[in-house]
Amino acid sequence: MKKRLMAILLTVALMCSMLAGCGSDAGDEGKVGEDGEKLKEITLVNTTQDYDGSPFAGVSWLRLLTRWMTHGTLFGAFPGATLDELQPRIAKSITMVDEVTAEIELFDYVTDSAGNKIDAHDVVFSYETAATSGNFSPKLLGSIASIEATGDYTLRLTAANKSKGTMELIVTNIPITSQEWYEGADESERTMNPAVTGPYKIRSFTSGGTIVFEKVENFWQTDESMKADIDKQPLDVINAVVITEGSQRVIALENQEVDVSFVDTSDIHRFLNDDGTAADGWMVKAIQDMPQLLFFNGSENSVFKDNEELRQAIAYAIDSQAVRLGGGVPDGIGENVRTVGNSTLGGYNTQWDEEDYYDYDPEKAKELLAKAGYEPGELTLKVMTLTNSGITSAAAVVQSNLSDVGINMEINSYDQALFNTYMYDSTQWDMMIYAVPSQNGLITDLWLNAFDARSFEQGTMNFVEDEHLQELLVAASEEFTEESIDAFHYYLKDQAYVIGLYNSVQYYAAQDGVEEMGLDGMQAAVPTLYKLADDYETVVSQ
Amino acid sequence: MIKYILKRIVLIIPILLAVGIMIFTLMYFVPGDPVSIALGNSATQEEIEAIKTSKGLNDPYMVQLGRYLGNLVFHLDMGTSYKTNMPVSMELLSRFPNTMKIALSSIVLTMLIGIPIGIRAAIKANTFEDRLSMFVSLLGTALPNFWMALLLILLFSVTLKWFPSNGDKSWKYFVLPAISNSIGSIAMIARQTRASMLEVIRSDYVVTARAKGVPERKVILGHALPNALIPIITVCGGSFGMLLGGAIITESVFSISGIGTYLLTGINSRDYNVVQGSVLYIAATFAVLMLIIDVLYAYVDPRIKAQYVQSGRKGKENGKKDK
Amino acid sequence: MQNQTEKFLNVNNLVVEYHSAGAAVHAVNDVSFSLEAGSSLGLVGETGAGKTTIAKTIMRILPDHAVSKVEGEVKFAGQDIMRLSDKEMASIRGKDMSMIFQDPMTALNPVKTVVSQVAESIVLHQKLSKQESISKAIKMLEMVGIAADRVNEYPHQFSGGMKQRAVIAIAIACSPQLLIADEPTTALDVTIQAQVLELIASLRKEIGMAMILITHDLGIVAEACDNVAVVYAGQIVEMGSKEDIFLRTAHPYTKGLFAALPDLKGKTRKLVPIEGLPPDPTNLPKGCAFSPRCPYADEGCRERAIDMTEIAGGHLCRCRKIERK
Repeated sequence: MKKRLMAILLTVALMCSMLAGCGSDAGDEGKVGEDGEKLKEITLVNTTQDYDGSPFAGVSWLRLLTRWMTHGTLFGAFPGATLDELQPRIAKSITMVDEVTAEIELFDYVTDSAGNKIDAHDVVFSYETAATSGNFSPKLLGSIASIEATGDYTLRLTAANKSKGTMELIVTNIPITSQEWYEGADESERTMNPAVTGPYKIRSFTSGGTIVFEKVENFWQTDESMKADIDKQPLDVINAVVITEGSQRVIALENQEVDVSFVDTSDIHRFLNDDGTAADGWMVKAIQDMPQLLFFNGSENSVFKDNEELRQAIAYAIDSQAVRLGGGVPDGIGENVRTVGNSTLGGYNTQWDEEDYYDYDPEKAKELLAKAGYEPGELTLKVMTLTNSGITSAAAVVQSNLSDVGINMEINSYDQALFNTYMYDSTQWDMMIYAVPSQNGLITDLWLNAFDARSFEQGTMNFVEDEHLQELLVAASEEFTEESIDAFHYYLKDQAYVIGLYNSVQYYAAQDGVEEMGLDGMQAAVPTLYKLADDYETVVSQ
Repeated sequence: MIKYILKRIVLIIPILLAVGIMIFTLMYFVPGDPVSIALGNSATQEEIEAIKTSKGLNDPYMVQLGRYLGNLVFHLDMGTSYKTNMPVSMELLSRFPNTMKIALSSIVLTMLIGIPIGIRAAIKANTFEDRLSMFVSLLGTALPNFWMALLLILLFSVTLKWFPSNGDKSWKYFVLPAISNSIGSIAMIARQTRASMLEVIRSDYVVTARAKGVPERKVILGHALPNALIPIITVCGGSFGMLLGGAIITESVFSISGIGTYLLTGINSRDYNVVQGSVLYIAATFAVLMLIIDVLYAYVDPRIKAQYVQSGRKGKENGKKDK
Repeated sequence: MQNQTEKFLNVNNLVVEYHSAGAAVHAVNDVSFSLEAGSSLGLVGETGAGKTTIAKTIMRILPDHAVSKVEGEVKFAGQDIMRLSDKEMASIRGKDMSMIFQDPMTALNPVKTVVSQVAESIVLHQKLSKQESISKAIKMLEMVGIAADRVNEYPHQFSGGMKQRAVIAIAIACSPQLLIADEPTTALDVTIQAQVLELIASLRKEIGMAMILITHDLGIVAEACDNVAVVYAGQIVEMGSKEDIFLRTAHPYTKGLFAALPDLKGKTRKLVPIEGLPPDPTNLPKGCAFSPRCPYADEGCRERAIDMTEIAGGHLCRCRKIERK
């Protein structure tokens, strides 16, 4: 009896010592700045537990949100920006000497947060290191033919292709870091406390936990008129806390434990009024995502090969509005898709809004199904989706639409890992619901990502081998004229190899002290682009 | 006794080796890999394969296994995470305390609450009190731990505002997680304790104790309970396994940075080293825990202690045999 | 019986009922007997006759959850112990009266050392310090023949005989006035049996204990008891001195018991059992409990319950037929 008591006491003691060890609060640093004023602080939510602060780190949720906050690039972008609209960051100016070559001049007073001076050689180093890191899109890297320093503060950059938007991508998506610092730092310093060329640096880093960013005092760009929006410093301290559960994020917002958070489509209604406006006390930001597309498998064994009528039948059977609502995107925020793409992309022709795009017509669908050679009830198709709840709900609507015209549909949802594997396996799916991104805000880029036969082993992303399609694609992406773009759009629409379903939307909810959330060139809501109310104060009590 | 403990500790090594090989093989054959996940959207298959080859992910099974085990055994190196490039062992070490905090506080709660409830139910067997407590404990085992967690958050965090709803900064953050994690095992221990005690209470030596005039309270706690402890400790041990695993779910709900969430993230991004390292860590914790439980048995029941001492001496005659 | 109030132990009209699977089990049906200080009484009967229940009732260690009725009076050293509170009774148990159980293998707590189990009694009732209790316990164990170098062992390390001796040591540790021994030798082999009986006898002499010895073995009764009570179906059917019972057997059941014994002297070809089986305690016969098996029974026996009648001084019998003799 005594011994058992001892054992319990020992355990309790052990436990208490562990807990005592973590008694101290993380953010103990002073809440008051040097000039005695209260610090402007914000707490936002990181939806995953990984984050790597290194300049050449891999992609993670928080990383996408904050990479240009911590690391500088040559230029800063915003959605749809063209070359002359780009904002100077490390680079002062850019001049195209021919279709693919640019001459770039840097500011000569750039330093990182550790005081290292940045010059053209550091830029070249950064581009080369990014290329070998394995963490950057090979497409992006593949579009850079060469980069060389032509002087201490001048560079010549050559793109590998003439596609519109390529140069913009190249100069806004590679982080710049000091070669001297990078080579001298060890792995943990690079990840947890890097020397940064952007306006914010990492104050504290808890692996898998809270990351605290603070503004860089004496940021190198002292000339306010030349400062890019993304280099602004509206806040002193930015806390990123980890909340992996969707419902927990909602609770954290309502409990005033965070100021801003990403909110799942299924939960956002809690912050909206019936008419779609933000409820009292809240600000809701809806970011149009890339459109969800329906791909038809075009490989040899697929029912869709050489069967235009079948593809069109399905296209007419689908009620896009219902699918959109099923996907959690309410009226007023979302729009119906009228091409493989959406209206926010550069090159979109508003003419297409007036035209029929397989508008819901179940009678026509049944006709076409018969013409395609199938009896109602005869076909059973497998559709593959990610496990995102909005998408699976949308898929369920499609399923119901199809069953109305006599086509059975099975939905298989996979996590990202499995999905990426099956994507390239033509035996795993008949149809696929997937959103293909455009990396430079242009519609031709989205089309290239989905259809460029040069990038896939077999035809397009959905195994379609069509030389005419490829010709039109290349023409549209290189010429970028209304004619060439229309040509591709109409051919693709007729063939219905892929049809646009709906635009998914990403939501953020914030306390109303955050009046607006600006977006960078990749539609990420970077905190430096927040517009705060004059009397903004964090709701989080310490 | 010491010899026995040492023998057991040494045995942990081959166990961990076996676990390592199994989890490695499992991850090898599961579809998906860290590079495809990271770049899936923006790279062609060729490009992905090229990167995979450069990182050694396309080498044959034995080569990769050999490399992993070699690093593990000779350099005690669990590799680095593909995502963050940080050493896995370092990241595990920083997260381990959080998981243990939940698991340990759960087990303490389980024992402190479950055992007395069981004892009381046994003493008052077949009365209303007994039936009520067994019904409640049935609910406890049946209701999902995840759901209970959310209910607790709604009540204590959102409505009463007594505790924070997520995070892991100080002891306050661990109260709700510990409670929600323990509910299932409290119920299980209560039932087991009741069953054990009922059996023991009918034993002859308990009657002897009463016949000696020992006060009832001491009969229950001093004579019956120590004998009932063996199966109870066994269940506690098994519970700890459940608690350790359950801690993973609890960590997710409460956003506590522990081994569970590390493992989950690793699985989702097929970060092989992370998954392997986490599983090894959990296996090691479990093995050590089982050893502690077995040692505890020896302290509670001298017959078992004698067995251990015998096996430790390996063949040497136990001098104190019966006449 | 005469001078009841003077006797050391008086059991009057004890009734005990269990409930099991919905039925009432009439374990003890109006039992009365008494004991003088220092003397020994043998309770003899078949298994299930109710002997152990009588003993446990006197000690008040019946399993509460199973018992549905306890009636009657047990006067011990002047007071009716059935009326005492649990706490008061606990202070008597182990000190003034104690019990030895049938199965020594399970009577000791496996996780405590033998000496601590003996010492517990002493600490509880004699208010000695821990040290003192331990040394007294060791002395007690030596008294029952267990060497001092073995006292710190655990029960599983003792043989059956040693265990029973340890149980005895626990029972006599505080020199009780009454010892109830419930089939103390049944589980032991014959040679050990003799040793244990001898031990009990010598301890009784030394301490001056009265004893109730429960057994189904008439041989042991002959050796160890002054008086005998024969128990059948929860009732005493015959009671008297040892000589009365052995030499002047009265009740047909008792006669049957003796007849069933193998006789080493005579030429017994076949053993003579008593016909039939003991009655079902949930469903006792209306009249004499033995009547279904009794060779002398008639209608009158089966009609109504039979009272105890005194045959000679101190020799009682519960049978109508005796009157006739």
